Amino acid sequence: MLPQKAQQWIDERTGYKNFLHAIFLLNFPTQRRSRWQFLWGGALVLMMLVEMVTGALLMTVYSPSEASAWGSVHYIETQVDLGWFVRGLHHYTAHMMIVAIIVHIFLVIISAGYRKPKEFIYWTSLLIGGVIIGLTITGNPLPWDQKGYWSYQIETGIAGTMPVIGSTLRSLVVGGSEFGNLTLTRLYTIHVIVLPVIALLLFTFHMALIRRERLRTAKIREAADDPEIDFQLDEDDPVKDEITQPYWPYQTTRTLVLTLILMGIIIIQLIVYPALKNQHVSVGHDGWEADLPASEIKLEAPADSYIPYVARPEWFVRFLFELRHLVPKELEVLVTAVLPGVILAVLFLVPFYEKVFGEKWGQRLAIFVYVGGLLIISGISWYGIQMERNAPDYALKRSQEIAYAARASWLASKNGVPPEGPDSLLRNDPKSMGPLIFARHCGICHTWNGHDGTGQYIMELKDGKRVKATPRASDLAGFATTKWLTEFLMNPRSPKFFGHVGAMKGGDAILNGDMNDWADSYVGPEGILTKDDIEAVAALVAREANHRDFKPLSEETVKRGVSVFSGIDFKDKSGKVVDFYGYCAQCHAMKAGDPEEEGGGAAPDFNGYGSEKWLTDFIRKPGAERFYGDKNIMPSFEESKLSKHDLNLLVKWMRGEWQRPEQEK
Amino acid sequence: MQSVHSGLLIDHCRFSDLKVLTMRRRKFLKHCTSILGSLYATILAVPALGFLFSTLKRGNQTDRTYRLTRLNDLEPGVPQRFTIIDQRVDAWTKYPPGPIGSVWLSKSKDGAVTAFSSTCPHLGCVIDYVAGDEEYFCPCHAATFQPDGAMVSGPQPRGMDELKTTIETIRGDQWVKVEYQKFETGIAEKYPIG
Repeated sequence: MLPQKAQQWIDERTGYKNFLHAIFLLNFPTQRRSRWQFLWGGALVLMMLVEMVTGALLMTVYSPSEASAWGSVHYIETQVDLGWFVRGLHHYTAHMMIVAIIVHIFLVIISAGYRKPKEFIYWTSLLIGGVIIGLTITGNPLPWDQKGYWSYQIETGIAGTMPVIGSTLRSLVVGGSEFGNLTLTRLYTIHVIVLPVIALLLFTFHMALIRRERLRTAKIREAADDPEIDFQLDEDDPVKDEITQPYWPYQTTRTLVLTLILMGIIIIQLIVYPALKNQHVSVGHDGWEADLPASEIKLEAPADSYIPYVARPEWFVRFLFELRHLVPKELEVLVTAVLPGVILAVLFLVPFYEKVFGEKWGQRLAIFVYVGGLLIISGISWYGIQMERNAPDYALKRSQEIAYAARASWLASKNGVPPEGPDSLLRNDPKSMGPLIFARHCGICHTWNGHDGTGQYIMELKDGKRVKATPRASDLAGFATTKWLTEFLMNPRSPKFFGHVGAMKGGDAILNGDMNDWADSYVGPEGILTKDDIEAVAALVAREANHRDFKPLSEETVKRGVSVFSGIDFKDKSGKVVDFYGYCAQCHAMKAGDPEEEGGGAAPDFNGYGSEKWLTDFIRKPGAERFYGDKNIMPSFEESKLSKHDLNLLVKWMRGEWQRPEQEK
Repeated sequence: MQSVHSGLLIDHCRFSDLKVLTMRRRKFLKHCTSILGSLYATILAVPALGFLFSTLKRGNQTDRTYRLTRLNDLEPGVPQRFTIIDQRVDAWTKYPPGPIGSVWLSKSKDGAVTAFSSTCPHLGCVIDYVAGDEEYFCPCHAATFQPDGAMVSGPQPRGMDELKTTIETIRGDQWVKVEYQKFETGIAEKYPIG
């Protein structure tokens, strides 16, 4: 540092030493000897400093708008050197500060730090705690991922239920009635300017009060025999004779030790927690496998009200959220507005407990209320989390959310975020949107591996109970693959295929129609067709779909398939050429299986069967002459019902065509 | 008053021992504070520097070659401007292909092709070609250049930036390919950005 002489030169002209001492309490007498329990306030200040430094760093990259917020945070996490560390430090330190302020206020209460004349010191610390919670609430939605978006929906919803001012307050912080760009810019303003300035003002006031109080009460002269007091005070400074143990270095050492321990915990947390937080769910339910390992998923999927996500508020307001569900609707305002008010009042009135109950019992009541309140709140939160995790479809919902998060992250790393915003990553992705579109448009009749595409089941009320609805049409998972077609040909009446269509108007003509008669006559133990014949013709038809994992057929299979399809050169089990009247080309057209160009006509056209074009045409107009014609019972999905964009995603998803990580290797 | 009395009772020797002990303890704690304080500062400073400096990598360009035109389509002696179309990545946003710059191509009578970046080396405006004067002209500050890129008049510190060209034969046609680069403006040296 500066040489003595220079220090003195500056000090004579600025008085900076006394100024610094006053500001940073450097020569501040601790009231008694320094103690470990008086460290939490100091640790909070040092953590606030961490927040300010990391926050300023994040501000250099973060961009508050719907189109760029998620992308910029993803960029921080994946592209910026140590970006993950800086963001993690910022995030977890905020949570640690809430823990620290809870501990700090507890220690204030047990050491009666609210007692006259220290009421305002106590109240300002409560207010600072409130601001810290406000900072966390406004900080979490900033990445504009599903988690932040939905938890902010809940939190502003809770604010909106407040009587009288509720809706105005809500629209003021939301920037209108709906979430959008203005919500983010407001959040950002509140988070980086409004609340930090309030926090600094409160902090200054808090410290000024502490200084005033300590100067008044520091009477112990333990350190009067301290030979080296390395600061200069005016002769008439009242502190002169009252030095006990100066804050520096006695208290600073301990404060730093605590701060570093807390930061160590934070660093361990930010390294380990992302990998651990999804340990309790088995990822990959019903086809929702994640494209990235859990530890590499740093953000939930971009905010999108169309993509399902279970809203969960932050842990410290979780109890309000849970209580809200426990009470009847009319009493909701009690929980969302009255209860927080009561909690605040109970905390604020602590200094007056002693007026009523006397010093001893007043303090005991304060401790009891504080600890009891914390236990009840943690209990409710814990109960809520356990309830949610034990819910029957929790694993499915969570693995769906994780799959979306991983998918968006992977697509963003792979392709970059398009200028129209990160939600288009998933909105244009067959893997992500296919199941939702299927569930919405097809799932009412069809199934996908038994469910509606997303892993959920369509439910219906039967005898007053909710039961899985019976499907009305075929299961389309694996549609137009060799396996699916083989199973179908072996038994078209199976519930997986035509089994349920009889229940619908006109469905009987399909259930007990020509395809069924064909199977009765030619398949099965008495039928002339062997399993190999069926598989060969199924493979021949599946070739039309040309799925991504379709393997080229051997010449022998093709020949055999053609013989079944066209009836030409058909060999029976013994290998003898026989007449076969059950050939497909009588009804179905498919050039690849039909050398004599009989051309079918009575049943769906198999040229390009299951291909993108075929499926698109079919879904648009299943009653077309090429397809089911008069026999059709499936509704057609015109542009007005199913947009071209969605249809394309649906068809691609049904065919398993989307960008996959393994293709990149 | 009591403490003063007891203070007087302490004999000289014990008192100085105490003094030394307190001093040692205090020195020790001061060292502790500075060591712990620097540890705290390091935890903040190292990621901060990494964070700040890594974003500077943004905009570092990779040299890319663009196939612009068939050689025969260029009219000898008449410079023609071609727009460079490419995807642009700006931090997290990836834009669809669009114009990222343009170049002037000219073919001499003997068929040799030269390419100039249309970015003015003065302050980065786009340079035009004035056919009547047979001069390149930057409208911002009236910088003029000869058809071979050399300075004529104006505030520019250097001539137009020439780009590397290659001729490639594709299915019998000769195509002009240009390696597009951006250079620092406002200095006399031609120095690529990034």
